[in-house]
Amino acid sequence: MNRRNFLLAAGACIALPVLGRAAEKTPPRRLLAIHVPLGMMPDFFFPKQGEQTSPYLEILAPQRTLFTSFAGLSHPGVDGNHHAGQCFLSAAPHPGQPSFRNSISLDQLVAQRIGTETRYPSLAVSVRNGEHYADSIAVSRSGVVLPSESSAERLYRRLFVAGSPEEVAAAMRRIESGGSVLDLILDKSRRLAKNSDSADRGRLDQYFQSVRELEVRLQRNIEWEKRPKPQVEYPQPKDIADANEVIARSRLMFELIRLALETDSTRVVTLTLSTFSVVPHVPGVKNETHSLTHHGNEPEKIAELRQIEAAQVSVFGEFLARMQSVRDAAGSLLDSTQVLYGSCLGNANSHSNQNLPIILAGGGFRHGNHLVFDSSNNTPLANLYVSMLQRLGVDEERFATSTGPLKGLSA
Amino acid sequence: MYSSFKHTRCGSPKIRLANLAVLVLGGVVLQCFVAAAEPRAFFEKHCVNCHDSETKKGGLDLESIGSEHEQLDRWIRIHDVLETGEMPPAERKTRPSQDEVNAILTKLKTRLNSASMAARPTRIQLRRLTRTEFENTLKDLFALPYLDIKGLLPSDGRIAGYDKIAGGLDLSSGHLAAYEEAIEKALDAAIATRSSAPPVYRKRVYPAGLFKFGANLAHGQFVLLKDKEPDPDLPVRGGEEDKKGHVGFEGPDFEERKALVKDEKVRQSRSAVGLLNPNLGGYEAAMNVAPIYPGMYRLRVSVWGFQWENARPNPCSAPQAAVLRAHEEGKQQEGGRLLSSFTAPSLQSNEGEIFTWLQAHESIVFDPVSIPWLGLRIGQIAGRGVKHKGPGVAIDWFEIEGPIYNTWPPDSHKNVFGDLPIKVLSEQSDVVPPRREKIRSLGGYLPNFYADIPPSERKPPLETVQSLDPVNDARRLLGAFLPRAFRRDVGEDEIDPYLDLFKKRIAAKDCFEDAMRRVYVAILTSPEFLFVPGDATEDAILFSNNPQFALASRLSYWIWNGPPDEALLASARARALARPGVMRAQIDRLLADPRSQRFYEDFTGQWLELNRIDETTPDPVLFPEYRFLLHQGMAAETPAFLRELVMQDLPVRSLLKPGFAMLTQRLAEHYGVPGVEGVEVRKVPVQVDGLRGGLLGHASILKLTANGTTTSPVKRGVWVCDRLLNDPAPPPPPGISSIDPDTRGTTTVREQLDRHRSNASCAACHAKIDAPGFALEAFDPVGGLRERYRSNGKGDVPPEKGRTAWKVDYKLGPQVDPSGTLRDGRGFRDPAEFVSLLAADDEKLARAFVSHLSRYATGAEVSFADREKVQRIVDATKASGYGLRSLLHALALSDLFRNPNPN
Repeated sequence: MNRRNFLLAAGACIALPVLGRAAEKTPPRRLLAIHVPLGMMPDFFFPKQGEQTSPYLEILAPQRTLFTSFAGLSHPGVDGNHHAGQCFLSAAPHPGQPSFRNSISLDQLVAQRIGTETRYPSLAVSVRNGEHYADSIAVSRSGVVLPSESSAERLYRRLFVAGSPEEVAAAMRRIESGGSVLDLILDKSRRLAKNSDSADRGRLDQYFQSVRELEVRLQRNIEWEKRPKPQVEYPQPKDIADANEVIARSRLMFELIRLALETDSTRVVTLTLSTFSVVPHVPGVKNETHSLTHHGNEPEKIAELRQIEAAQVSVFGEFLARMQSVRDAAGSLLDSTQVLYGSCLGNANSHSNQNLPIILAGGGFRHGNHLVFDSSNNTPLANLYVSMLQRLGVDEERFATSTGPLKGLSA
Repeated sequence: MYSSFKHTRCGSPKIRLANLAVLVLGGVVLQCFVAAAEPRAFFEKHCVNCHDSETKKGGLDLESIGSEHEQLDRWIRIHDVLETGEMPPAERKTRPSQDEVNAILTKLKTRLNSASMAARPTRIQLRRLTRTEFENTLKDLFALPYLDIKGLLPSDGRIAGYDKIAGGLDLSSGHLAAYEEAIEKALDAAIATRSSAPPVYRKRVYPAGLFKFGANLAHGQFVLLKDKEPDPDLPVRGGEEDKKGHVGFEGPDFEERKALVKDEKVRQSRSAVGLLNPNLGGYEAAMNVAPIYPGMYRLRVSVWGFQWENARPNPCSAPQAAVLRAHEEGKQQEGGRLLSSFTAPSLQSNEGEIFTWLQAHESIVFDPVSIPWLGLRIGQIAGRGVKHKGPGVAIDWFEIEGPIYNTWPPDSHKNVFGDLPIKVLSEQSDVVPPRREKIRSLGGYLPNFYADIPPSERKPPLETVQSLDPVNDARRLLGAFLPRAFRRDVGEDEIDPYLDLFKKRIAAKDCFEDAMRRVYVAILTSPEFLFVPGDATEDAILFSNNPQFALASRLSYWIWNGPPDEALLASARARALARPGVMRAQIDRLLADPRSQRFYEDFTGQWLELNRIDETTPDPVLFPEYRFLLHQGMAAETPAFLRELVMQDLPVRSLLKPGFAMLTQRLAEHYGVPGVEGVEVRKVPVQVDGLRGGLLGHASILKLTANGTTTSPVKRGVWVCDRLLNDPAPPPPPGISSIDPDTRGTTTVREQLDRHRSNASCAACHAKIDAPGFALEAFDPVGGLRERYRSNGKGDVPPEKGRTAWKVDYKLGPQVDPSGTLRDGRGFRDPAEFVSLLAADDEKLARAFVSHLSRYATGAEVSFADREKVQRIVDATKASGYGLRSLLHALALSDLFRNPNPN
């Protein structure tokens, strides 16, 4: 069967935005979720009782009105120390257990609803050295962790580099020949699994769904390939080869994400800023970060780790300022973009997954506060996600382990 | 998902133990185990006191527990704690008699067996290839043993530590897209793009004239050596000291050496260069060699070791060591890829040779890994080479030859295109030409090797595979490739869709090569390739009418972690593989093949969690001895050890007390085993009752169960219970605070843990977990034996300070207490006694080993119902003392490994 005919037969709906549409009346709503797998030391992130600020929040003082910080949030049942990272946006319980299955992450749910009009429904991006736990926090509907792009160079090319006419022709040819390969395996997958036992059928179904998704993506690619990519003044970057330049690498990724959002290439981004296996080029730092997080309460190690975490917070502050300075229909780019920043580790030294450090910036919420919830009986972090979803125009009453929208946060 | 099993539901609302025994719903009688009269009396008498809906000790509420079908894991746990006597707790005044317990257990066992079977009617299910299997399969299919594509594929989910379990192997469109990219890369490597082999590049390099060596010679990190003595052409000088006793990279001696290094006499010198410093950012010993063409290369290097003292090389007490690494283009400053290690004997040149794959433009770097880093470059130390004392490694020369092909086109190409001619693509041809990488010189700061390419090679003509009869040639190629890719016989009609794709691509003006490429991508993303059939897989597309092909794959993905070869498929084709004698012979054949190394590495990686060995970096101040060679030795020990046990069919007790150890020189030094020289792993006899050799004395395992800086008895105890005894501890109940590790030298983890254990609800589990962990406290985070904890803060100066090759800046803190008591009351004073207690129960060790092995071999969890099958396997090997190879055989012949009643 011809591929297009099949798509019609299968009822696949390929909704592409109308070309040359006039400027939208309401500005798009966007989401960026940032995960810091090794967390932040609680003593320096959370303000002490009765105080409004802390050493790390102090670094963000110029942006204080642009975000809300939270204490006393966590995902119920999400344990397993480093394994918890993959559940940061999904809240699926017990990631360390044999029977664990992940579930759809916040960003992917949002991408399904509001990601359809952009070249990329969502982007998963990371800064990392090699492979570790939670290199990506984006999880598909079927519970698969989606791989993240860790090369700034490749990300830039995907977003902004238009090929020469020959390259576009070659790309179209590749898409076309990829299409004929898909025709074959799609046809094959439809004949599969008529009489398999139930477990087998589920797995073959995943295969069929995957081929179909690829098919839909391919159709979109054909359309998008014909349309010019946005032009940006930002020159094509080179990847920073030294993995220890984790701060510079983060800064570069932040810039590219800002550009991706600004050019409306995507509206949903996840970013993992991993400091596993690096000795960051930060003054006073001599040791690998993960080992430093097991500081054993040694003051020297805590001091080193604090330098690293402070540098991370500081580069995040720069990003917020930049987002605030970019104008868009809602006011600033930050006003139209919810930026979540946090970790699934509450305390890396003891590997605790309670009392997570969380910040929410932008997105049109009323900010400037530090909201405190019960530290011994945490409020589900998914409650915050429900508030975020509603504000993004995704009409959901609940998400994963939520018990309702988060109290105290208002638009 | 349980709804299809009508008799199984206990039903909701939850049954209160006290008020309802039987619930009739929809005409079906539903029963909870606890609801029946006899068990009910038992549970009420002995358990409900603590496990009622108010107290809910350990989170267990027997008053509202669901049926064994709803809460199978929970019921299995109840069974297990009753069986082991963990519950009811020993402190209780009235405990049930053993007869009472046994009666309950018998009943419970029957119920749990059927519940367990109902929950998973098919034991071995269809599963997709793991990414490691995917890579190995392409390696074997194309004959590309060095193919490296794993990094392109998404990582696999793990269940119980294994990536082979069907339920963890999801598939998404992201996977398919990644497969395509990986397949394209493999095809790039497989396909020959020229009619004759690329020219062979041969070169012997003498180090003195190399750019990086010259700089280091000038700075004084390296010394020029002739006939194992300082070369008068470049004398060793001390340099002028500043007030702190340091010297800069300047001064008259430096100027003198700089001039000498530039002199032709030194640049052309064939003298050896002695390295006094290890490689360090920007000061690496680059060989200035990088291949233009990817391929197999022969590398040779001549090295020797010495002890530098009195400004000359002296004999060293033990051989030194060096490695060669390949650094990706433009990443010369980064870690690089290890090619091989070489022993550098004292004052005696050792010519080492390796035959290895090199990528285009990878540059070769030499690294004298046995030299410790002392914090300062020799060129900056007072007196430089005149006063410096320490080990050194010398290199006489280095040779490269390649790419070497024993046949052209290479086998990888023939596997894809057979013997079709490779010719220049005619300019008149109207097909779209294939994509070609440009032959180009090397980038980066290293010298340009463009000059080494003959002019005729710089712009080669566009050559590609040509066919005069494309459709028939394609059919022939597919007829040969498909059965190998699908790991079974393939019917003519199965070729047709791929041939149609080929015709479509030819019609779209693809050249023959590109059209076939698309077909190969389609084959290798087809379900027949990506999935390994399960016991109940009936689908005609996936499964031929001969179930023995699936058995062949199951066997090869176990022992080779890769696809079956023709001999195995032939055995399946003849329907002989299921015969015990044939199966045994095939297992032995597979084990004797070098591909079995994949099993030893991957299985120890997952079973013993060796793949986590690099998760933490030991604190360099606390553990300065942990450097490359030690890491390499410990990582190699465990797979080599398992291999030895399997090949010799040694009894399972040998896992803990083998009487030998698999050691490199550096690891032997670490363990205090004398007389081992060189970088190779070899079998060394050690005392049976000693601490080393067995798994619990492996530095690799002691490292991966520590966190880099500190050890945790809990983490090590959990590891022993789970990985070695297959008796995992339940996770801590919610709301339990973890220990906040402390290395300031004031408190020990044991003291912290004692406080934790004084809490009664923690004590029950920790009684089981902690004992192994306490015994292993005798080992530090890098597997060294210790009597006192090392400290970064308070403590005494250690006696070894000043006597080691590395710098000792740590202190000695509190005393280690490695004694403890097992749950059954047996005590031990140290790890040796603990290991003896553990090794005594070899049947338990065998059961645990088989359980873990079966997860890996079959991709299925060990269910409650599987326990009897495990026991039968163990019983069958008793005569051999549960020999490891015997256990492998018995597993393959058991109905854990294959359905006794295949369709």
